[in-house]
Amino acid sequence: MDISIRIGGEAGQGIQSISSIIARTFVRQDYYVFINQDFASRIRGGHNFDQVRISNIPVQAVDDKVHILIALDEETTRQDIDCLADNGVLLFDGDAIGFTTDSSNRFSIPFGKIASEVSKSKIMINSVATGAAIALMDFELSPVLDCLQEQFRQKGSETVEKNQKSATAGYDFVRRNLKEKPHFRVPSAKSVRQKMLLTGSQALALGAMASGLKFYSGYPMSPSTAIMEFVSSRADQYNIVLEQAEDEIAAINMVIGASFAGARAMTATSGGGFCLMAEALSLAGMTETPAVIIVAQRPGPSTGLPTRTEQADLNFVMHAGHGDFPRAILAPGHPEQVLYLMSKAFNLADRYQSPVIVLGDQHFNDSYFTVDELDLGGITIDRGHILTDQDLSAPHEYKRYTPGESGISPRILPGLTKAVLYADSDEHTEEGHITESATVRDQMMRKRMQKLEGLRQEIGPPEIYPAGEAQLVLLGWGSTHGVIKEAVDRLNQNGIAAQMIHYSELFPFNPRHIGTAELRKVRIIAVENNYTGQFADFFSKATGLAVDQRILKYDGRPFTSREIVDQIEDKS
Amino acid sequence: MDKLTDKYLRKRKIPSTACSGCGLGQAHKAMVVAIDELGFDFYDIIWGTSIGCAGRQTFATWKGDNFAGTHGRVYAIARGLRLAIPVEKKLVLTVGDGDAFGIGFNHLLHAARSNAQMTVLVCDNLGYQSTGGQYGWTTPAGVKTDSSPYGMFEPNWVQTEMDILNVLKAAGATFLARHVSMDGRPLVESCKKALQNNGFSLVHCVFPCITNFGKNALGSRNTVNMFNWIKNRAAPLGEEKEDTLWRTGIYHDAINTRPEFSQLMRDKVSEIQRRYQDEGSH
Repeated sequence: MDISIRIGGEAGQGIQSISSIIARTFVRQDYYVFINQDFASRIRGGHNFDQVRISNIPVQAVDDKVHILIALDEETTRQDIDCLADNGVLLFDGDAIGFTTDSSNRFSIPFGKIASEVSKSKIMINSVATGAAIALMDFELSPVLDCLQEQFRQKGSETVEKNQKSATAGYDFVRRNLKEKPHFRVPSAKSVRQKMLLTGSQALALGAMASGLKFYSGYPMSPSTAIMEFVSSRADQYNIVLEQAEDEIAAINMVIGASFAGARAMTATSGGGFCLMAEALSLAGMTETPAVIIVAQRPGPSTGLPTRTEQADLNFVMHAGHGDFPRAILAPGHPEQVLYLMSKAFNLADRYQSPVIVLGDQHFNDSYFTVDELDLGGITIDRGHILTDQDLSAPHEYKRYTPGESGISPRILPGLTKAVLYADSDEHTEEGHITESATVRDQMMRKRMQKLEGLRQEIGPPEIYPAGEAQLVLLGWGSTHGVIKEAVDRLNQNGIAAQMIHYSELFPFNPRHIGTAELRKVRIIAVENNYTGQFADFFSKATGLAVDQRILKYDGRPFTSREIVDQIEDKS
Repeated sequence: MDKLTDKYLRKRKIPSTACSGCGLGQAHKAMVVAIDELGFDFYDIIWGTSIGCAGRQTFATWKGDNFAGTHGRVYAIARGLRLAIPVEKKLVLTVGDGDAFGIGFNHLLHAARSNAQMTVLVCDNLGYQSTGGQYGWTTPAGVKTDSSPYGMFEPNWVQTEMDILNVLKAAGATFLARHVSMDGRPLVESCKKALQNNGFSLVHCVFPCITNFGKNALGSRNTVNMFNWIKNRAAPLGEEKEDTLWRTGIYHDAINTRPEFSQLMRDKVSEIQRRYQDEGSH
């Protein structure tokens, strides 16, 4: 069972209220749901859609075929009709859109009229459409009514009732008027399990909060804003201070300030905002201050496509900031690993006193994933080497930048010990005082860069799926995890021994994680949402392995597994 | 505004992509009316913006030359443009409150300092609305947004004792006014004065955002309520009441009293060239 429902219309028509009710209904019924949000950069109007995929096995990618297309406006009937699967059904309101048809795959239902009749309100069109879609899947209505009850409880029993009546009316209309059996059948749940539906942004925010985040500063920028909003909405429960900054320069500098004083601190932005942060990134590198920065990528250059997706900032985050200094880069592929990765990000930042960048993108941040359970067991909090008065037998002898093990110098928190703390963005001595000495400069560069080698040993291996030998490898990183996995499954079903190598811990890269000798005999195909294949270049350089083909997409939309499989040359 | 639409705007871009009920059109119209009443044609004006609701819905509708820069940077871009475009062209910038008073504030201050000719219309929807509704630097006290769930408690830039227009005056701006979008004629008159200044002019204009500010601050998307909410909190300078948030009218009028940036630069360049020529002729 694998059904995709697309709800298309203008911004502000309530697309999300339909997708979220349908999604929650099926998640409660033990199904796996994935929602991709495709929307234009405007608050009202435009052409937008949510695509809800429902399956009995885990799905974390978009399907390119739609089985039920709910058109809330005329534009959807024009733009999205080609996505319909052969037996797919278009649900539309003939009264509003101005055409009717008797084709069983083009089912007209008067959303507006039903909503007005049943609840005296056109706003209820969304619930009518939800009920109609459920009927097309030959599914029972009661779980939908339960979800509506939950969704609208706070607005009062009248609103709940109106929505439930509207959904029932839409459901009944389809059952009465559909001339043949419903095209799709979603069986009732065998069991009801607790699963979660959450977006990448929510997972990232949760991961940070579970890792002991104490200070957040940021500037609104799509697609990262949802992280700030989630932290803001829970800040009181988790003792977090949130300060919106006047720009990204201020945001990261505040993070560095708070972190210098000992608070676990983070900011999130997108590529354009990270451009402004580059100067301070280098400051964190020089002063050896921990900082966690989430970069939710969107297509550039410049303002680009603000609400769409791309993976084109890898080169940028890897090289951003002037001068050589260590950093780590992580890029989660699915929410289940986010808690672990965020905790790792904070721990690496603290232990190596370095900036750590976590790369998301619009597709990852805005999509809803079904998660069985979030594993809090993977979370540890390691603040690194911090000295207190008890550790300092001679506080006046303390030197902030004494080279310690792996280049790491034990730090103190300003004002909390008898020792005095000096920090300088200039090159500095062990004491933290400005210097022009060539000898000290050499020592300090080596000390800082030694941490890069420590970090390299901490970086985890890529996910290899399935294990064993393969004739073809699909190489990816970050948000393409779900779709590459699906493509690999498809290829294996077709008798092609394919394997995914997926990196979510990118930098500093450790080539020993993969068997380069075996991979030399295998066809390697990079799959990336960017124009040049940024990771492929990096991977080749680091491993000496040739990447035989690059499947690249840079139109601002996520891959589908069919797209990947179709583009593979030389499958033999 | 049919006649003016034909004369100044790109028909294909009208109506703009603004939400229904948005007050931005009032501010936009006031500027176009001012341009018309002063007898400018569309090719006399270059219309620019950075990013956000305010600029996106206005610059792209302009029939003449127009451009969109990056967030907060348009004032610096405009200073560069000012130096290189023909002197008789006028620069008009429609920008948002976050752009002018937040991320771009440093550049704005330097544009004021240098007195570069530009008419900046700050269309203020009281926060970051195109990213879903977060607080900004003019969000009134107590207003709940996605990033201020306990209500706005930090000081803002329109408080009487720390008014941003005073800051800009001190920085050297030569024309400053504040309005709400429903001001009508007085808003048009301020825009006209601003355009007649061969220097840095800024008109701060508060307008209602129904979709996000209305929903967050007033708990509803009722357009009439939102318009009244702003209108009732505005009063002309000198007629303030205790609950007045926006005192409207002209704050500072020193138009054409200081040398304009590009003129200053041109004069200096000719002076130096003359000196070289004189030296060369000896």
